[in-house]
Amino acid sequence: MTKLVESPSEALNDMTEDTEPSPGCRSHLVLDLGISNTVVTLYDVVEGKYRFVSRGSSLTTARAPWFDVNHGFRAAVNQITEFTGRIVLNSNGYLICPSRIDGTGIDCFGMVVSAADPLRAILIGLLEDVSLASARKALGTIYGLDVDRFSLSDDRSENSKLESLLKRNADLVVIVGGSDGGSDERLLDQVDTLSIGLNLLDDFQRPRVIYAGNIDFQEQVSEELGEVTDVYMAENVRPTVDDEELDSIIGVLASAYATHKINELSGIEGFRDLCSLPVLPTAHAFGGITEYLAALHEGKVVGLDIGSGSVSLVVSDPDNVDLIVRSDLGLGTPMVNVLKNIGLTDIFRWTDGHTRATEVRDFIYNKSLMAQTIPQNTKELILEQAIAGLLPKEIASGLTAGRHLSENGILKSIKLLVLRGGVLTKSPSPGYPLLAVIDGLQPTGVFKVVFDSHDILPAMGLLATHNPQLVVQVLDSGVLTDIGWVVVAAGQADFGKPVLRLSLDIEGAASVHREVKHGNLELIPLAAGKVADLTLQPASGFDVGEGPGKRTMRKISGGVLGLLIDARGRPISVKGDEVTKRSHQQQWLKIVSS
Amino acid sequence: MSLLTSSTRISSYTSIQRTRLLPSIGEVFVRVGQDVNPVQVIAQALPVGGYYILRASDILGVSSGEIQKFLLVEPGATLRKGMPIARKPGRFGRASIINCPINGVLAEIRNGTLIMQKAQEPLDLRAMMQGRVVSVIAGRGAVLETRGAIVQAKWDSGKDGFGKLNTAVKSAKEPLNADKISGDARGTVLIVGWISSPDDLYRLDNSGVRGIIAGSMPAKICLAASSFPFPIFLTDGVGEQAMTEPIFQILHRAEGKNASLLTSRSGARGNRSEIIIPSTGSRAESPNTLNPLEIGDLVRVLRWNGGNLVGRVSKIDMRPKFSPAGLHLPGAEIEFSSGETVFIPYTNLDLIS
Repeated sequence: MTKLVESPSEALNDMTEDTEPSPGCRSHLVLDLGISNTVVTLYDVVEGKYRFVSRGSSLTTARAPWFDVNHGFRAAVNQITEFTGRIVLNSNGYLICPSRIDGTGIDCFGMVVSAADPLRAILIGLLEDVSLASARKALGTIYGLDVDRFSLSDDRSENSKLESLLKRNADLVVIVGGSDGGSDERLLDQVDTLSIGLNLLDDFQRPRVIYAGNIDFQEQVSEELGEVTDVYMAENVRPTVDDEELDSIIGVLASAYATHKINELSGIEGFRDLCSLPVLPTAHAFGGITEYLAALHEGKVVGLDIGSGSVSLVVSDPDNVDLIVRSDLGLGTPMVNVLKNIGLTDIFRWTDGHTRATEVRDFIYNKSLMAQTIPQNTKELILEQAIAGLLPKEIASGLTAGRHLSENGILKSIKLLVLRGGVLTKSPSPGYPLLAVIDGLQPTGVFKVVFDSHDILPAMGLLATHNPQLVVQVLDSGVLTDIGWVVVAAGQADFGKPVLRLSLDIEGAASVHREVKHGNLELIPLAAGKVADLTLQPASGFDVGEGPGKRTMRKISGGVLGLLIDARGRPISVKGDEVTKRSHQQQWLKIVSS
Repeated sequence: MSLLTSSTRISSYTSIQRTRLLPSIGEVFVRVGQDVNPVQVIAQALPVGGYYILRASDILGVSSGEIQKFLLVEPGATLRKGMPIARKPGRFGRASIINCPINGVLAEIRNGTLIMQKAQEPLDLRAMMQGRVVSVIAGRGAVLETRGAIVQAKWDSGKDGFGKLNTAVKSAKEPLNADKISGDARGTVLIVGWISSPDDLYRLDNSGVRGIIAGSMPAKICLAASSFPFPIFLTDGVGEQAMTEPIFQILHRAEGKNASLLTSRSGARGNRSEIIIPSTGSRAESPNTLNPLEIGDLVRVLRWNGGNLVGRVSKIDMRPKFSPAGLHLPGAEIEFSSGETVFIPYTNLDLIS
C-alpha cells in the first residue's frame, strides 16, 4: 500500500524551522481516545515557534459506568489547566473553540480514536492465498477482527457457512475474488448464500457489505444485496492475479470503522462537530507520521505501538508504508490471547526464575479483566514487559517478504525505531523494553531509537496535513525522548568469533575502541546531548547495513541508554536447552539494564 | 482537580434497573407495571442460526422458475426428516425425489432454494430477579426495577443464577471446602472467601448448589468454570486472594435472602457481572460512580501484592509521582486501617460506591 493519510511528507519537506506560524490557527488541542486511556495534548506558539505545551490523561470513559467519553476528556483537559493555568473549557465543561481575546480556549481541535470496538468481519472470496490474503491484509490496517473466512478451499457445507454467518455477530462482510474481466461466477454462488443469510437476520443484526472483487460483478452484487443492507464498493483488491490494489479498500474500511464504530461511542457526537480535521483511527495517524519520519531520515523507519486494546506496527520508507494492526493482541483485554497463541515458555526466559506458571496465568487474566491497571511492583513490571516483548514478534509475522523483509525473513536495514505505548516508554529502565522489541522485530542496520514518551505522534500524524509547520517545529524541539543508537552486526559465525571493530570518537571525551565478538551484546554509555563519530568495520560476511564486510561511518548522538552493539546475528539463535536460553536472556537483560 | 478511577458498586440498599434482552427478535410476555419473579419467562425467541437451505432446483436439474411444479410442500408446511418434499417424474416411472433433511418448517422458497427453519426449543428469557417491569422493548425484552443490595463482580463463568445466600465460610479469607458443605446447601448460592482447587467444585457438581460467589480463584480453574452446572462469580479478580471485606460483609448480612447472579455476558452492552439482593428499606443510597476521586472516598487498591486492599483517600496527587514499581503517574495517598499510607497511581484505584 502506498499512503495512509493524505501525503503529509511532501508538504512537510518544504517546511523549515524558521517559517513563521500561521496567525489564524495558533493553539491546537488533540484528543487521543484510546481504549483504556484518554490523552489530550496542547500545542501553541511559544516565542514565535509552535511547541508542545502540555499533556493530560485520564481513564477513557466510553464504557461503564460513564458511557460518555466527555468525562475522561474533561478530566484530561483539567490536568492541563492544573499544570499550565490555561483555561480551555467553559464553566459548563465545554471546549472553548475558537479561542477568545482573553486567551481562553483553543483555535483548532482534532481527534484520533482507537477506543471503539474492533470491526468484526467475515471475509468471502475465492482463493485463500490470493484475494482473501489481500482482504486480510487490508482488514489488518484497521482495528478489525477476522471472525471467519469462506473460500473455495473451505470444505464446510453451504449450511455450515450459513450458520456461521447467522451466529458470528459480524459488523461487516468483505467480498473479494476474481480478476477484472474474468468470468469465474463461483463468487456469485457465495454472494447468493450471503444474500439468504442476510435476509434471515433481524435488522439490528445485519452486517454491512464491502465488495472489492471482479469489477464486472459490482452491479449484480449491488442488486442482490443492496435491498437488505448497505453495500460499499471498492476497487478490486486483485485486478489481475499478479497485481494487488489495496488503497481503495483500505479507505472504505477506515470509513466503515469511523461510521459504524467510532460514531457508536457514547458522547462522541459533540466532538465531531468541533473537529476542524478528519477523525482518524490512531493507527493511521501513527502510520502517517512514521511515513514523514521515513522521508526525513531518507530511509526505512519502524514504528511500534503496544497499546491496551491493540498493537500497531508501521514499516515505512519514503515511498511506501505498511501498517499492521492486531486487535487480538494488546496489554489489556486481549492479553488473555497470549495464553492461547503464544504460551508461557518464552515469558519465563525474561523472568527471575522464581515465577510460577500459575502466577503468570493469574497475572494475564487480571490484566485482561482490569485493563487500565499498571504493575504494582517490580515483579509484575518484568512480567508485563516480558509479555509485551512477545507481541512484536507476533505482529511482525504479518510482514511479507519483498519491500521490507529480505528473502530469509529478516527486517531490512532501518534508520529509526519509534516506540509508543506506556509499557515501553514509561518503563523505569528503557533497556529492558528496548531489548524486548529488538528481540521481537530483529531489525538490522545502524539506527536511532526514540520513545514517544508524551504520546504526541498520532497527534502529529493528524496535524501533518493541516499544519505541517507545526509538526516540523514541534518535532524539532526535541519532544521525542532519545534513547540512543543500536548497531546490528547481521550474519552468522561461531560463538565468540570477532565480527565487528568499532571506534567511537566522542566530542570532549576519550575515544572508545572495541572488538565485538559474535553472540555478544554490549552497551557503550553516551549521554544525551553528546555527539560522537562512529566508525564500524564488520568482518567479512557480516553486515551493518551497507553490505557484507563494508565499513561505515556515522555521526550519532547520545540518549538515555547510549550505544547498543548487537552482535548476536540475524536471526538471533541461541543453541541449547531452556536453561541455557534463559541464562543468555538474563545476561543480556543485565547488560541493557546496567 | 479531577482524577477518574474505575469504580465498583457495592451498596447495601439502592434502586436498581436492569435491561433483560433476547439475542434476536421474539415475543415479550410482560407489560409495564407488572411484578415479576426470577423464574418468570418474560420473553421468548427462536435461537439464532436455526436455518437450513436446500438448492432444490439444482438437485432436480430444473430452472428456479420451474421448481414450484415439483414441490410437495408449501411455505409454512411442517417438515419431518425423511419425508419427500419434492418429486420430479422421470423416464420409465423413475422419479427424482428430495427427502427432507431436517425436522422443521418450510420458511421460504427463493430462486429455487428451499429455506427451512429447524425445529428448535424456543429460547426463554427469564426475569432472573424479583422486581417490576418499568418499560418494554418491543420484540427484545424489558427493563426491570427493584430495590435492594448490589455488588458488582469482576468476573463470572457466563451463566445467570439465583438462590438463597448461604455463607459457607467463617471469614473473607477462608477458601471453599466442599467437605464442609452440607445437604442444606441445595438451592442456595454459596459465599466463600476464595476457591483454591477445582476438586471442590467437582464435588459440588451434583449437590444442587445454585451458584458460588468467591473473592477469586486461579486462572486454570476459570478456564474450566463454564462446565459446572452452577454460575461462579468472582468479586475481586483471578488468583488466590480473599474477598474484599466490605463485599463479604454485605453478602453475609443478606444471609438467607434471595440473590440474583446476572452475568456480564448477556443483556445490554457494558453490563458488569452483578449480584442483586432485593429487599425493603427506607432510604436508597445514590451512588457516586461518575464523579472524580475525592478525599475521604473508600477505594479498593487493585492488584496490591496479589490481593485487593481497601482504604480511604487521604490526599490526591495530580502531579505524577513514582509508584512502587517505578512508574510515574498521578494518583492518591491511601490510608489503610493499619494506619499505613501508600501512594497508588489512579489506574489501580477502584472507587467503592
